[in-house]
Amino acid sequence: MKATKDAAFRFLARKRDWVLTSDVARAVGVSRVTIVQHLKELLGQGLVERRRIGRAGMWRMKQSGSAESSAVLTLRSNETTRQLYAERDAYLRMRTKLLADPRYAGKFVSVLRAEVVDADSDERELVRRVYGKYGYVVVYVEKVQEEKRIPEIPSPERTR
Amino acid sequence: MIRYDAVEFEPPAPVADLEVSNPATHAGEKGKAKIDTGADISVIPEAWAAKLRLLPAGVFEVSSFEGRVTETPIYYVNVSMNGFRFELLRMISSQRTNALLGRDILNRLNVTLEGKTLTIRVSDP
Repeated sequence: MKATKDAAFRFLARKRDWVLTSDVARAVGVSRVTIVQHLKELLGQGLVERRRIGRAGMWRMKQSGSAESSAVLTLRSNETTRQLYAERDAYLRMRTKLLADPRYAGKFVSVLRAEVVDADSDERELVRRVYGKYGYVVVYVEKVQEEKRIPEIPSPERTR
Repeated sequence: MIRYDAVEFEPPAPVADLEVSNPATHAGEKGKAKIDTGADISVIPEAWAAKLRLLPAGVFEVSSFEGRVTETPIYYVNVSMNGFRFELLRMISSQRTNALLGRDILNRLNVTLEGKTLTIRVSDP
């Protein structure tokens, strides 16, 4: 039992992103009902986070410290950010299918009104086309890839 | 040739003149940006993003020097650094009062740091 829970946690730690319950179950090799029990234990231990998108449950390893910067917290309170996160949620729901589709895998996609409206291996060209076609709107742009890299801004600064 | 900033930073830090503009309205904001070769991505102050009415186009998780991971919005902006212009570059915002120029922009140019004389040279060969 502990091995299943550990495997689920290691999988989420490797993904570094929100993952559907069914994808965790598939990766660990157990049923959805079984994995939910283990994920709930991890949730109770404060090791993972859960969110719901419609009927789907998603999980990720709990982020150290505050998961959201003040910028996001501020933005979340307005309509613009509600739109952004709605598009992001739509992307996360589609992610597994996009990874399996050679038209999108490894490319940048733009999600608008919960649909992929364009894709390109050149991020700037994609954004240029999307803004050109749809105007300057809230759109979610993400590279469709298995592993997600977290950029570093590591330089400490003295305050004067 | 550009001088390091010895007023805002101790020890003096290499800075560049940065202008960031909204790709739709072309409204711009200018300021000094610290050259940070350790940063994977460039950063603008939240106040700039608000003033320019930038619309977010994604979310990044970024890691600070102590390893803390936070989420922050992504914006696509037009950038001018000491006269060198780039369109639709991805930048993030934070509660900083000045901007950071990371390797995503620096790697598009030749930037030479001359610490002994506290000067920098920027060129596009």
